[in-house]
Amino acid sequence: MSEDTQQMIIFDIGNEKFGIKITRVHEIIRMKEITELPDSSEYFAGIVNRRGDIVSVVDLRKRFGLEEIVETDNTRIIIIDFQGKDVGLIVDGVSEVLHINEADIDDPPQSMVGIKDDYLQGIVKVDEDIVIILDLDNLLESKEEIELDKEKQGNE
Amino acid sequence: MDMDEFQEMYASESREHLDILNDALLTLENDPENMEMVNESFRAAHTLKGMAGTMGFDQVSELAHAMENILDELRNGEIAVTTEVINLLFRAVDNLELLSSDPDQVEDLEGLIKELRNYTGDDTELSTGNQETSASSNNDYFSLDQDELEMVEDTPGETVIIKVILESDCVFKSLRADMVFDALEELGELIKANPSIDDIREEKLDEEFQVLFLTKESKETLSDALSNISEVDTIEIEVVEDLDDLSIQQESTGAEQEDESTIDGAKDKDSKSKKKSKTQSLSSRLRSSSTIKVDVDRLDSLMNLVAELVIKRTQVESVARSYDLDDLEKKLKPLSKVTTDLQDAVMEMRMVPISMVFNRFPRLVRDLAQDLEKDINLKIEGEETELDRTIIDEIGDPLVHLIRNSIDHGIEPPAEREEKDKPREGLVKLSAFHEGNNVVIQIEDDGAGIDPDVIEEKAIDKGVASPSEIENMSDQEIINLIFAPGFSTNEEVSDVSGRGVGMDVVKNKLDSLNGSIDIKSEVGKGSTFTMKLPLTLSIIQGFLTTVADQKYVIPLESIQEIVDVQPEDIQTIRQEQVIHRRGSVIPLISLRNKLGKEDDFEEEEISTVIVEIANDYYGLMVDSIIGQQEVVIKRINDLSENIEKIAGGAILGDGSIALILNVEEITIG
Repeated sequence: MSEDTQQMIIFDIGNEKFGIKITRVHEIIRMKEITELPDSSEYFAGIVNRRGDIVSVVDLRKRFGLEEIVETDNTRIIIIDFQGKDVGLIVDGVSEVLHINEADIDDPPQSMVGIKDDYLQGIVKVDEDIVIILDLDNLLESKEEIELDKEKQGNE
Repeated sequence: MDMDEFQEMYASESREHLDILNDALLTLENDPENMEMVNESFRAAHTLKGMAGTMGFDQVSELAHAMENILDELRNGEIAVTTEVINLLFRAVDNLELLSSDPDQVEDLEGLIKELRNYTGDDTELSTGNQETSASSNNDYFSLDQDELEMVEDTPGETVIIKVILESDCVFKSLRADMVFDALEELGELIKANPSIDDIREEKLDEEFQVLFLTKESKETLSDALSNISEVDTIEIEVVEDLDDLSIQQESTGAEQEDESTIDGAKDKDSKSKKKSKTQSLSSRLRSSSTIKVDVDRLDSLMNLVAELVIKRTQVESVARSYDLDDLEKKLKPLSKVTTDLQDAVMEMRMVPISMVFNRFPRLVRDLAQDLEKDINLKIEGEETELDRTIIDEIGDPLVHLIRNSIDHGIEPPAEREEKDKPREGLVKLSAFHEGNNVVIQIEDDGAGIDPDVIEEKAIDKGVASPSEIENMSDQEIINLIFAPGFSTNEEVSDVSGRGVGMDVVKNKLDSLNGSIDIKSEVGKGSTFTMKLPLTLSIIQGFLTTVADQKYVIPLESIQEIVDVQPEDIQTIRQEQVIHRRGSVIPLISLRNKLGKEDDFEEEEISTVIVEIANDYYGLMVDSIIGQQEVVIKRINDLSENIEKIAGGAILGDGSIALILNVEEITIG
């Protein structure tokens, strides 16, 4: 493995594929019971018990303004490191782990399926799919509303 | 040990010496004749210089050196103790502190060093000379006094002199020396070291030191034990055949000791303390200081493990209960006692006296009083009161803010005080004491007090409250407005209290620690701020309740009682539901409502938890009450801003999460 490839975990939300560096990911767990917190923002799903630790969980579907769907067997929580603390991201499913060449990662366009480049780190083409690499720090820190482009979703 | 650990050791040790300097200089200022304080400062500056030198921090050692020179002239009586010189020394101390904590903030060092040098009059290098004399007064022999000699004679075994030579690039010599002492401890009795044990501890040693030692062990055993210690180069062991050699040397060194104490300038005190320690052997002195320093992080992880254990225990207990396993439950009882004891023991380890924070204040008050030209008498009580280390770390800033406020806004200028028939000197009293499961810290002043009229005006002016709102408020409620965000009582933002933090920040800090703050104030008489803090943060007793299928913990400390309210007992006063209880009217709060759940709960009787917050009672209506339980508070990562109503989460025996209610926040508004 050369120095400039990195492993990425690919996950789905709606019809889009997203990538996240494996080094940011602590673990991927199955969906579990989420305790909601009163008065919290819409996309902040609540907290879960992960082996005795309390981890805050963000619903990425809601973060992208998509309608709520019933969780399936594929639904996962990806536990990542965010500013030194564990945070969980609810995703529709985790599909694969890919080796991606740094050189293949393109700069993000101004916006991608309705997501502004503020929240994008880049895009990469894998076979026929476009994988969106999110800037998770900005995404989790910002309170700005994001609407994933639904029309595009339908076309895919 | 890597360099980082040395850095850490350096940082914590230099902190101690800086504290000594601060204290000693303060005492000296109030008591200029107190030569003991000059000596103590000198020793601290000297040690700092040495430590910094070892670590290669040249600026620190240069600055400390310049201080030494001034202190040296002070004790020789060449210059007098004046506010000017004390201020200068304090500035030096502050910059020494900054050099190790926040080097960017350091003022023009060269200028300061020059100023210090100028103060001493000339280019005197006196103290370097001194340092050499005191450090090199170690000769190749031991001077035993009569008591020590008797001890040597009375103890069976051989007397040996062990000469230890450390590797020349050894970084922390005193540490290695300590390891040598520890190893020897197990093999016999240490009588004396050369240089003295105190000097060795303060790093006043070269590569070589000697120990006079009583032992039954063979030379080989000794040298085996010592050669395992890293950074030790050579060990020479020599058996003393004739004890007289030692006592003869005692006489010849008598004069020398005299000399040394003259240099130290405190002949009387020094020799007195020497006399006291004479009857103790070195070993017992080593033993008497059998404390160790432990990194707080390690205690934290120990604490977490114990917390984990408590959770696991409750899990097993709940299994035993649900399967009616009597035997198991019986066996679990002692386990439960052991975990509780363990928990207490760890808690106790984390307790530190509040003097750790209070110690900063005499200096702070002195500087403030000088800046504001006020006379302040600071009284400190209960500084031995112990609190959890985490809380100690957090309350420093709020306390500084409150003390600043008392001196800046509370205490009047001396002339004004005299007009009011008050003593010129204003009193600020800082006290701490235990009250149940809480620690109470009070800051009391005999200043002008807080005038509700002034607060009222200000609050309206700043848009904190509307005139109509204020109309319905009691004086106490108006005074409490100073905790509202965006409030600052001072006409113009002064250098002293106006540092961008207001009382709202103080209150927020206390809230986050599950504490509270109250004000009592009387115009013209003064104000008292009372802070209440929990003894410890992580484990609390609470009542487990359910509201709309979710479990919530209400902390026991705020609970007054639990009652079942009949619907017919509920009255409506001003659109508020209330009940009468023991002659007082208690407003009811529906938790379903407060927590954003559907309020469609119908029951014959409503389980209600009566809580007390700041002397007011409220009834919290819940769906049901499960019972009392001990829970471990886990912080919730606040990705969302609006979760003030929840103080944290707790994991229950069945793995589900209960939310811990911030009762204070729930009862607001």
